[in-house]
Amino acid sequence: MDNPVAMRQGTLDMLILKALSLEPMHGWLIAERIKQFSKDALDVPQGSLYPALHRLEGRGLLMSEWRASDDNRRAKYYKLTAAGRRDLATERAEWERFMLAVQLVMKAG
Amino acid sequence: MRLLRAIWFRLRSMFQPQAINAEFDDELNFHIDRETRENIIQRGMDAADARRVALAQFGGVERFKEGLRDEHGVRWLDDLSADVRHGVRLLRKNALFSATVIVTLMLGIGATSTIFAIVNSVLLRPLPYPRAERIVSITETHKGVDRNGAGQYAFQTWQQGAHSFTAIAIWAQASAVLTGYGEPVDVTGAAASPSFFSVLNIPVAMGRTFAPEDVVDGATRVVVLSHLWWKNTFGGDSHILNRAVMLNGRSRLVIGVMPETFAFPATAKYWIPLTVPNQPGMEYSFGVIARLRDGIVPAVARRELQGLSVRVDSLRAIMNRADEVSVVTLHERLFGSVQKPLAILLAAVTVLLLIACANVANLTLARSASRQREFAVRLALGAGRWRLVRQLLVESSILALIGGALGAVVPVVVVSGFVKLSPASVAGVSDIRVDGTVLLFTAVTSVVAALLFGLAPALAGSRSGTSAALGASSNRTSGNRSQRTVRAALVVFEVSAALTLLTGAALLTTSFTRAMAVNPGFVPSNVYAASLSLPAARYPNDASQVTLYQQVAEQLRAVPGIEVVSLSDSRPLGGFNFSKKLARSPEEVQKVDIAFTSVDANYGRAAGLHLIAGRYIDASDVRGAPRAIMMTRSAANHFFPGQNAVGRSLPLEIDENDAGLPVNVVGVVEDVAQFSLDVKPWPQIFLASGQRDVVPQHIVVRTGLAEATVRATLKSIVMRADPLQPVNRFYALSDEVARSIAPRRFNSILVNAFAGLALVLALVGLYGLMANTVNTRTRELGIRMALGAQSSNVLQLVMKQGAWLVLIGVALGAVLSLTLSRTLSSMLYDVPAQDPVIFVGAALSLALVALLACYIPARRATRVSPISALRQEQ
Repeated sequence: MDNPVAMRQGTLDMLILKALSLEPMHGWLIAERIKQFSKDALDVPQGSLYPALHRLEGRGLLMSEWRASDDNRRAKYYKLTAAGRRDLATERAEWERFMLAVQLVMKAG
Repeated sequence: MRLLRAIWFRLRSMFQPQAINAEFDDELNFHIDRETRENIIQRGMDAADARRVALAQFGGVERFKEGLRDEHGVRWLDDLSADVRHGVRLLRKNALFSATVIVTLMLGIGATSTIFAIVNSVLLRPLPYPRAERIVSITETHKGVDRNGAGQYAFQTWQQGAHSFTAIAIWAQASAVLTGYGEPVDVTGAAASPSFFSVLNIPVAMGRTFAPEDVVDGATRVVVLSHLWWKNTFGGDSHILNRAVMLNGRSRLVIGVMPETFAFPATAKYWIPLTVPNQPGMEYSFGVIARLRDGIVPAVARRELQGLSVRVDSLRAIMNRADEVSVVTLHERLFGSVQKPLAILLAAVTVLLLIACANVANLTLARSASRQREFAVRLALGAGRWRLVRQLLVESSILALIGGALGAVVPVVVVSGFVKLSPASVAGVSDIRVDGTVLLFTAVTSVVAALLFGLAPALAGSRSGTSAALGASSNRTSGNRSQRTVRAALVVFEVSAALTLLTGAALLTTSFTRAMAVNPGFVPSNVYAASLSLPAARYPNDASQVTLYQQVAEQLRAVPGIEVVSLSDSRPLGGFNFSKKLARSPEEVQKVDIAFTSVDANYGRAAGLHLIAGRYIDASDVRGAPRAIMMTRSAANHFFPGQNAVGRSLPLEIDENDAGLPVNVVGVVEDVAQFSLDVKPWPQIFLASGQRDVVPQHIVVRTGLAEATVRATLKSIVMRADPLQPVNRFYALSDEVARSIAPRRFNSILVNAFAGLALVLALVGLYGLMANTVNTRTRELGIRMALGAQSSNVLQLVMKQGAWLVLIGVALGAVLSLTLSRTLSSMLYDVPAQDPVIFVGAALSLALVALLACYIPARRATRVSPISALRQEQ
């Protein structure tokens, strides 16, 4: 938490898509989930979270609706569209290839 | 689906900004509340702290919103409005610059829109008939000369044999005297076959049009009224149908009224059924119009009619044969002759607009050079280059839109003046309107202009290097090298385009003045001509017509102030009564068209013919005396080349009056203009009406009285002689002279105005560039002078640069005008399209004033004080 890993925009997009692939959620919860999954290693900068959400919605990867939250307040929920699901699959594959390649390099010699 | 979603997302953001903003707020508030709750429950903070921490962790609320707006693609809207506000502020601060640009654009765009309004009304707007593009006009052509009509045998053959048309009609101009509705008036109309109305295909507004039974012998005489005539003369009487009106002394039943849009021929106030004359051997010229069947183009119809020519020829006399048929759209027949002059005017005004744009571009460039520091600072602070380009384009657009909006007013204001100035021959000219098409044109022109003059400066302005511009002090920055090249190129373009317009204007003006200076062969001032159209119903024979004319002439002579009164069968600039091909002698094969006019003893003095030799036909030329003729100079040259014609005789046989007797030439006069000052007159022979049976057509009067007085006197005299007879046409011959060259005058005035504006703009552009050069080189010039350069050296230095620009511009302009002037040649009179005097004259005078425009700033350069110039460094 003291030293959160810096995050690039593309990475943030992918993490958002991944979080939303479980269930529709609102912005706060998305940030919370990412933090949980990464065991507090990744802290989503809140200034970038919402622009990223709106950007993904603008690209048609997410859609949003206003509905009651678990504490019964009006919240904006995001969920994956079919295009978003496809995009997540592609990004995941690319990410894994990239990770593998980096590992190979770092472990070499 | 995905695309739709993306589009919806953007559209909603753009058109529901408030709703979107509220959603941003809601989303933000929810987040903060949720985080606050988390802080209280999970992290055990107290309420106030929890909220503060939540807010702090979130960061700037405005930045958050800005980020969202960015993602919604509406940020550019905010930026644009900021650019516009900034632009308006800047332009208001530089009021002089803005005003100059706006006025320049207003003139350019306004002039272009005005000419476009004319082109739109005359050439682009279709005729008001359904599927008007299928209506054609058919004429016969012989040996390349269009007869402007077709004979009735041709029409009848086509009507029976041609399949290219759904309807074909024959028509002729007609005129009639209307009596019984106030003063008798002479009105023009048309006689037409029943099919005429199906060709034009506009349904009658009231009643019916002609039926086939209206054209058979002995049918009730009927008439169809035009909307305008019905409104003005018959007071829009809704019970007019089946009323009788007296036309030419005969009663006609009104069977129909046409709607307002139906106006063919343009001046027709009524239509009567045309009975095609059926005298063997006699053929007249008629108008023929037809509606093409679907899928048939004029060329196909032409081939079909051409194929019928053998049948036509078998019916007609050899002298009436035609070797070609021409089928063109009615629109082309009506407006074809003005197409080229208008195209040339439009081209000229476009060049003017381009010069205006170049000038504005130059001004903008000069200003953007002085703004380089501003741009450099903005670039250094992280503004994108595109952002700067946009800022400059927004400023250009504001100027162009204001200029364009003012320019749009110009045609509205000047079009009525144009209608007055333009010759009647520009058909449809009275109908020039500023409509949606014209406004759209103005709008598009403004946008294009904004891009033209705005883009180059915008790109150049934003390219400048940050450090260089920041380092330099702004008042010495003259823009980078490429920017200066662009400015020089613009000035060269302006000079060359201005020269092209000037040359064109000079050619047209010279044509006009030379046509003006043509000796018309008569003295038009104080001469008036009038004619009476005597209806056959009341004047059944020649004798009754001659009597009326003579009675009127007699009474006119008694009026004090009337100097000479003459009767003749044609008048100057009124064509001639008939023509005949004549050879010099019976043996000669080659014949020449000779025009004939019968004149009485006073004609020579009344018209003021220029006597070259001998005498006018006078009172001594009566029956029993030797038969006398006068001839014009060109007729004398034809019959008696190189000899004195007076006293010679000719074996002239024109009609039964001559009985084979020779006629004597008693006088030779200068050629008399028959159609127009700029059309070479046919050789003409004047016959003595005292020696033959002729019916006068014109009363020609020479008097010092005012035109209105002459007109009123004549009218009352005719009225006294016959209360049912109006004076048909009354002309002041000096007006006729002016009218005959009005198109030249019109073109010459317009092109001169454009060329004048172009010249001023080009000079301003040149002056601006040179003044700017001197300003930016002040320090250098100061050093030169401090090191001992004479003011003449400095003058030479600066002038050399200007002279180069002028030289290149003039050279380019000369090449351009040499290439383009050929297109003018059909509009020129008595001037070759590449007249060396005009070309050299235009080039020299332009070069001279252009050098003067350079000299003024150059002169200022010599007054640079070395001390103050050097001091500028601090």
